[in-house]
Amino acid sequence: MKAMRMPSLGADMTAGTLLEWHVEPGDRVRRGDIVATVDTSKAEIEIETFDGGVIDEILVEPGTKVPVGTEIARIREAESEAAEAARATPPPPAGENAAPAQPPLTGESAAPTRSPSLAEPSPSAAAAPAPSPHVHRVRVSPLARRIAAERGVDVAAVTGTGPGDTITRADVERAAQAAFAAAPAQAPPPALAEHRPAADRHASLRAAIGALMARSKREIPHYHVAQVVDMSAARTWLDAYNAARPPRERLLLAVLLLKAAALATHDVPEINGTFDNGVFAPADGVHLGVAVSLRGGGVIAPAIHDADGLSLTDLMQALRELTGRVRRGVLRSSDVEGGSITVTSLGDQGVDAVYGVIFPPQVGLVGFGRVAERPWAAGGMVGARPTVIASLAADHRVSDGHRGGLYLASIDRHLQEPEQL
Amino acid sequence: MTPDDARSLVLLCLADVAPDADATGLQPAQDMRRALDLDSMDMLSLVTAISEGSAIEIPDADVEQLTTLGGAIEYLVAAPGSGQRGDGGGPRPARPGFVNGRIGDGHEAGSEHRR
Repeated sequence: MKAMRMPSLGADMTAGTLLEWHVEPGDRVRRGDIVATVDTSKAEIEIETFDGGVIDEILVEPGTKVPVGTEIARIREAESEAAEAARATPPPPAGENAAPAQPPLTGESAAPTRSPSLAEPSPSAAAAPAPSPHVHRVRVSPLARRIAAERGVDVAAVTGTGPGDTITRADVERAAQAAFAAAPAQAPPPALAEHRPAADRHASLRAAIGALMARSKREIPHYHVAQVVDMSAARTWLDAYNAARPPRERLLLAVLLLKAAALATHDVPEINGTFDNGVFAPADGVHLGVAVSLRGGGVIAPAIHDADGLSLTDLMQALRELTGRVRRGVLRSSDVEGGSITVTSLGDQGVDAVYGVIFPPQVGLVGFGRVAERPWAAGGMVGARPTVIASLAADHRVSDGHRGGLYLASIDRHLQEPEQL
Repeated sequence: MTPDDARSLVLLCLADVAPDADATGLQPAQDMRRALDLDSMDMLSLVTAISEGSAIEIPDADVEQLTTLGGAIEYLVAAPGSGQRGDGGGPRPARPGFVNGRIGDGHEAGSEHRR
């Protein structure tokens, strides 16, 4: 029997409110399946399971707030169909190795746990093996679930066309239209814990960012370095790449910046990792946090795992999916766990340069300002070229300005050879 | 495609790629990126949704023309192939699954308009 616990979804999280279960006892789950939605101070987060098996028992009801580390469900290893059918009653509550709920980790000392599931490729890339049909539970995007509830659509009767046959909003709306003149709604809306109003969420997000950034400024001796990078080669390469492709296959310049930032950590590994309890722990991969600003205020920095190994198209896809989840206000647990360095790109409408504040317990924050035409002197001549100001805020307990400069120089080198990215 | 069709398609796509943005009161000449705080990913997702929802090819070089609601409507109305949506002249078979599969392949955009 495996215990499923309220995960720590960031250094600043001490408790979460269970909003909704997407599974019920008896459901078979695979590693990486979304089993529940949890409300943290920052966002609604879909919790993915680390363990495959069969949901044995659900221990926390929707609407309940529990500390990080609390056991919220039990998963038993998958058994043979026969054994499962024979099992008439659930096991006694206090199972052999089912540990009691742990005391919560405090936010200050809890390093974000990197779950085993994170070693897998991005959710979209993970091929879903066909589950046994009678226990297969449909995957429904939270938005689709909400719309289905509003419009009285039974999701069990809807065919999913999203990634991994996930039922999407479009699928639900199609089904609702199809059923418009026909039978009335068969299924009652699923019981949902109340979603918090936007103003409430905004206030708690603001408080969470404030607490985390105050900790950063209090504890981390920042140093800052910056470098102007010529973006002509990257821009020319990208324009040629995009010209022949339909919108879905196009890349953003931001993706080239992200890839260069990820690759450059190979040259200066001491800016990629976490600093906890006086010790720097280098990361086991480049888990690139991407700061995404929210309309109406606030910023969330979900991570793209092993970003250095992703092709530009895979990185683009990961960024597209991540942005979509941020926009809908529902992240996955793998998005918010285990970031090892963060990039903030204040975009094409934004400012010239960023002077970053590090996300604890990380030790580096890379900033990219606006890519714009600026004067550029070369060979005794001044011309106009697209340039970007790349900056690094890093932790002096782990590295120094010289190494930080080498990191930015490495980003620059990578961006001069966009075809190699 | 009529201007009304184009307008509802753009607004439908906008609601899908930026569900947290409030497009009521959006003026035709306003730059949507500024008015609605769309970043480059939002803008690309919007163009993808519009292109696939209308089966009108939108080259990268033309994207700048779609940054206002008015500009986008004009572009779609004037586009060759507009009006024979989804069949003749469609540049490529649209694939389901756009941005988590929410905007489909032009068929539901069509049904949206016929309501």
